[in-house]
Amino acid sequence: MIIAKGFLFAAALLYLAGAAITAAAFARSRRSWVVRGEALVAGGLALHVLSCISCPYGEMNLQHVFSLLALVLTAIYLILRLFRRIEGLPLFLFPLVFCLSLVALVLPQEAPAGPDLPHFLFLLHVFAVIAGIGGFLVGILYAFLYLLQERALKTKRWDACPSFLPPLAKCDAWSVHSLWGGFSLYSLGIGLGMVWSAVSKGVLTSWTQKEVAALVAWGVFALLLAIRLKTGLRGKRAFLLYTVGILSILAAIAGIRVF
Amino acid sequence: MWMLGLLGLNHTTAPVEVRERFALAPEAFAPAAEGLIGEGMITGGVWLQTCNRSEFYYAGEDPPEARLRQRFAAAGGLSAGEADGYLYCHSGRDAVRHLFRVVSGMDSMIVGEPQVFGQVKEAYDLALHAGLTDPLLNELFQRSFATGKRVRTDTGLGEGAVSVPYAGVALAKKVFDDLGALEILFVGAGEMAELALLHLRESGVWRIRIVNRTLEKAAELAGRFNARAHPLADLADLLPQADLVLSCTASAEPLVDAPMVEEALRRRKRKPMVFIDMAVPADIDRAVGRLEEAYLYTIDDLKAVVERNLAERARRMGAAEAIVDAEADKFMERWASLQVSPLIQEIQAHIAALQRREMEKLLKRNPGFSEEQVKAVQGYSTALLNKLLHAPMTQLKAIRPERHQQQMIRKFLGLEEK
Repeated sequence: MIIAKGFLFAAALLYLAGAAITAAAFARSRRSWVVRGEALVAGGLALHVLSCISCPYGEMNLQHVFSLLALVLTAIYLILRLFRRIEGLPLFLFPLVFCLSLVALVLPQEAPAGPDLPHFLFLLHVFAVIAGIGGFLVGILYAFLYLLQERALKTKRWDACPSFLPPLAKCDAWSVHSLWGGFSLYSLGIGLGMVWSAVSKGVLTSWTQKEVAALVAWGVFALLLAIRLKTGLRGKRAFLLYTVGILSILAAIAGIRVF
Repeated sequence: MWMLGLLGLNHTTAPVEVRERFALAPEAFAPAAEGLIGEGMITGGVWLQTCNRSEFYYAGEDPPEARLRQRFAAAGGLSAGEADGYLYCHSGRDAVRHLFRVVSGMDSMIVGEPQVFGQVKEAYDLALHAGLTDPLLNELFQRSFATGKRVRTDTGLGEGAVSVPYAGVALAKKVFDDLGALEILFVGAGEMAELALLHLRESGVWRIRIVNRTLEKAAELAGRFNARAHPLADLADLLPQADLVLSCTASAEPLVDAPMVEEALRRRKRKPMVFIDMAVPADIDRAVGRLEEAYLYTIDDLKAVVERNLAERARRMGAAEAIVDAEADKFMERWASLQVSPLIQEIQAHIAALQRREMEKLLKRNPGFSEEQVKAVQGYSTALLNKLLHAPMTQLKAIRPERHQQQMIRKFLGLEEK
């Protein structure tokens, strides 16, 4: 457990260094520095994976959720980055990843799992749900970038119009794509959870409070996407709506722990 | 001594009527440069002609600067005395630095403009293919292209629009990802519309509609740009399809108001619209800018963008100058080593020949030497010579002797006269 925490601590340090270098890159218009920031974050990801391997999870708790969320977000970003240039996002994503790993470090650690590894369905269920939430977070980050760009364009304060921000249309498209991706994965996660429940307990759902909370979160997710599709909501209202959505989902996750 | 030099005039030293006289066609330059090379005045030359400058870069063994000035002035139909007030003349590091600044767009009328890079490349390619360059000029121009790229990448000197129509296009790019997929609506078919159309075409925009009070005028402009013409009465119906609306008419009243745009946005499912109003008085009601998802920019806003970008480019000049200085120093270092490297090669070849001859003599005198013995003697002599030569070679590279000093060294070492 100490080794796992050590790895996670080192990973968090690298995430922090990556975030700092990326911020400096944007502040000083040195695009090449972003690659250095990404390299540090990739190093952090490697240590993070070692941390997970060295202390497998038994049951999910909040500490695991935050740690996995940081890991999944970083992994998805770096994989996408291999295929295309991603403007603006790392400036906010890397600090978020650092904060998530920091919270995971600070939260009380539980005893490690026994020698038996968790059922693969459980692992898939966890990863799909976490990746779904990760997609939602990325969607919100893009909605935030949209907000920044929109504000700069509306106020015509060109000094406050950072060159690293992607065009509004790109922010909007990526925000919606991330939300759709997140929703699909979250839905898959819920489905896998039901199958796992059926395999291990013989019932699809026991209607415990945490299961109800997870289904409510899914409903919120679906509602948000329906509103976006119907109205084409953008800018401040979209950002507020997404924020309410993620807060309700996080509340549901917190419910898992509380209940 | 092998030297680099530059003669030229530009927008800061000569008025347009003088610059026009020196605007030589590339075909006219080649015979002139061949003549100079034939007369032994230079070993190579490149003529650079842009809208605002005529420059002649040359290399040679102690090139006669005064005579070259005379020839340069004559190319513009002036005497050397008449041309003196307009010409600048640099040699060595100053010439190198000047070219690096030109290639990087730092010496241009609009600082950071990218076209000059291509113009220098074209001038160099022309000279290269006509056989008018020498190794020094080749090295110089290659380094200048690398420097130009570095200045642009590291300082972002060429970033940001510096003309009003381009500023409009640049603002649209901040809203839309792909201009090629946009539907553009022009209100008015005047000169400004034509200029903006040219910029949009360069940015890959093809779906264009033009509305105008006089349909014939719209049709005439649309015909030239493969666009579609509509009467002004269709404006409200065309708005919902338009992503970017550019307007420049002489109308006394606004032609586009907030309710029209609100309705268009509703029909577009709130997909953003950009309005660029270049008319005075305004064609688009200012209230449009207060609607969400509608972005309105006036001619004053575009001018502010241009001024800001120009100021930003000026601010980045410091960093660009530092890069140019460092690259010029690097080039001078390399040039110096290039100048001494033939002598070093001669010395090494001379010593190698001596060693070979002595080995042959030794083997003739001692035919019974085994292969191992020959290898041992060869190895010993090579190591000894290398050790003996190491210090003088290092000193030669450090001192970088002038041509006459190199001749003395050759005599001293018994090398062939060169």
